[in-house]
Amino acid sequence: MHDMILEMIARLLIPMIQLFGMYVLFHGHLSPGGSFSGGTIIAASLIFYSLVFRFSERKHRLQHDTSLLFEGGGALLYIVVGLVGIFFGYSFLTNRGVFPLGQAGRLWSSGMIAIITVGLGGKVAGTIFTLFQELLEGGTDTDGNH
Amino acid sequence: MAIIERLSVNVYYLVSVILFVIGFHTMLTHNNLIKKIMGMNIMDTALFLFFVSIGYIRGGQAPILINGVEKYVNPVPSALILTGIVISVSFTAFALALVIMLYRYYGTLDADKIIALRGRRHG
Amino acid sequence: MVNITHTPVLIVVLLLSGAFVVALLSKYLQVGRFIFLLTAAMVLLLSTRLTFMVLEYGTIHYTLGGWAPPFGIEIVVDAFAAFSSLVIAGVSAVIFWFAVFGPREVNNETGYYSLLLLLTAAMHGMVLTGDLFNLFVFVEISSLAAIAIIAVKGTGESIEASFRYLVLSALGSGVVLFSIALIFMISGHLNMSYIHDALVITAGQYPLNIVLAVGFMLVGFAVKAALFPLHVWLPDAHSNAPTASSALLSGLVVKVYIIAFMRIVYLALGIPIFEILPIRQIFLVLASIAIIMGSVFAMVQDNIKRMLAYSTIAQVGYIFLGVGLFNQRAVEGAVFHILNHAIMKSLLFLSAGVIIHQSGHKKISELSGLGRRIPFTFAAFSIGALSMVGIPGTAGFISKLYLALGALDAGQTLFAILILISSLLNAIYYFPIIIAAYFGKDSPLDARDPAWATQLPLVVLSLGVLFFGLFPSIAIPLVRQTAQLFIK
Repeated sequence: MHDMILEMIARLLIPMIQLFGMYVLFHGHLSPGGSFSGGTIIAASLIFYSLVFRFSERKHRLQHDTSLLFEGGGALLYIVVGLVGIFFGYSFLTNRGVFPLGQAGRLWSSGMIAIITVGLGGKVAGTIFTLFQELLEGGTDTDGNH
Repeated sequence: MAIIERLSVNVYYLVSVILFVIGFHTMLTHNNLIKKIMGMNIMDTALFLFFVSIGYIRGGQAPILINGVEKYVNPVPSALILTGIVISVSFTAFALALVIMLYRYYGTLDADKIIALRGRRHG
Repeated sequence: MVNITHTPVLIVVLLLSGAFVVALLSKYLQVGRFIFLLTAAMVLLLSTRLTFMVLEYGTIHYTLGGWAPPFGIEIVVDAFAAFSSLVIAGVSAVIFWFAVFGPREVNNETGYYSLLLLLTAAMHGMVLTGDLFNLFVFVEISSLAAIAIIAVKGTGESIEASFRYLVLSALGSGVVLFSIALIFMISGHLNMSYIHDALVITAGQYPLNIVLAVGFMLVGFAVKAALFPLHVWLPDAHSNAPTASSALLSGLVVKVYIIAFMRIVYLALGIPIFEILPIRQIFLVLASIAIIMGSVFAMVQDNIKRMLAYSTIAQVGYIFLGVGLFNQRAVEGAVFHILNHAIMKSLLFLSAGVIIHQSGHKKISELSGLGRRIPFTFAAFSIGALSMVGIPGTAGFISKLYLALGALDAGQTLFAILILISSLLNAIYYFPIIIAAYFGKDSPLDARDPAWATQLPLVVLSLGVLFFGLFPSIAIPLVRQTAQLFIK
């Protein structure tokens, strides 16, 4: 079914939601929020989109792979950032002395925390979106790939 | 009156313990699988409330460095509970996925009926 | 602070990154398998190195992110942690090999491997960390992964078993978190050694908090470790899982919770505080009931994997018995039994899985005569069973001997007799299988031994059982140091 009102509102709202999600994500080290809240907001916009504009099957599949990539990639980014500390002779996940810290209160003021937050935000968004899709389909796919 | 005063000071602890018992009871005694999951969530929420209220200081502000604010609440429990919430969400999602699979196999959400059906199928 | 070694954190990091990479490789199955096994092998090497470092330099402290202990997460690798990590790495590597080359039981292979790596990462994290909340997070990860590797089989029973496991496991996690909150309330720390220092001062002022915290902690970990009255989830869960999962769950996962609990007791709570409640007596009573009832339930089972699962409940009782007796030799016996039971129960589950797969039968009464058809696998099963009964020359004998000597040291002859009785009970349910398999009436089945790659893990584990039975002195330095951590 094709609902004009829903589609128009979704078109207006989704960019706003995503922008807000990005804001929460990027200011995680300055204000309440961060990867979990920001990622969830972004995932909510994706879920909203997929509910309003129902995906064809093939598009679905692509979404799955992308969100899985975000899931694994976000966690791997975290690990790589942590290993940078070891590479420079400090312990795992060292921030001070490895990454430029910047001035307190500014956007770029947290060294690796910002990188980790963005990576994890992607992971959280990917995970929640995947969860939604899986529960929606009810695991109907039988080849067991997902 | 003294006891009422003590209760009003510790009202968060009291409420969280009550919620914990409600969740625990729901989880163990209800047969409906979805209600079990709801009970699990209530129990987790009670624990989060309990944990966060440990770090609460009366009149304290959010722990962000701002000029002019002297009193901050303890940020450690809140940070921990953020992790706790994520764990609880994953448990819930996983439990719901299992419930969907169970419903597909047995056609019911009643734990007793599932056990009966299983006994019939496998002698 | 300069760290001596990055090994402890690398173990967990390697396993976690392996889990995420393997999950992405569903289209490249061979590459996924290779990375899966490579990760396990590298972790085994790192674990061995860690153990040698601990033996040489003593306890290793590692601070994450360069934050000093009261604020940052600290990893504390003492003799017990190194020993546990080595046991986990060794046994899981063998089981992983079986998961790859054994019979196919799951659809989504790379997803399964990813879960196995995640579970192992959580187990390593649980035994290495020195931070109470970090430990809780690892407990939760391992619970979720453990439930998932049961449900992954996809049959109705396995999903029902895993749902029941999930509900009880969530209850256990809930009370453990409650206990952590109560401890945090009166100590203000999450780092275990700082908790210990704070509790020495504050415990006397808040006895109610301590009693509740210790009680909740005990119940939470008893559910997860399947101590007797709280074991109800275990038989279904362990018998309906895929073979590799059963071996991993019964051999390692159940015991890792005991290890974590023991670490909390001596690192964070301290023995004097721990004795506010009569915990040792509770342990002794529950462990005795578990040893007897587990064996009695095992005797009446006809499904071979179910029998092995009930036998695990009895063996968990042994470990709690050693901890409850609480003297040097009893604790040595308990710690040694963690290693021995990990090896022999994995061996039994893997060989039972191979037997079921090759013959198509899982009832004990239908296995008659199969020992001559599947001689090799049944030989492995027999070695595991003999060790379970405690025949001299096998690993099971050594730990039972230590436990019995510990019971005599404590002046509790009753428990030494109990160990003897339970060995007899073990003999009652293990020997008929072996006797029927080799000397029973001939089987009409045309079953044979599987390929060598499937049998390799059985060979390695059988040799392990015999090796630790004949040369227990190899493991003794670590076991002794561990016991000394308790009996300070």
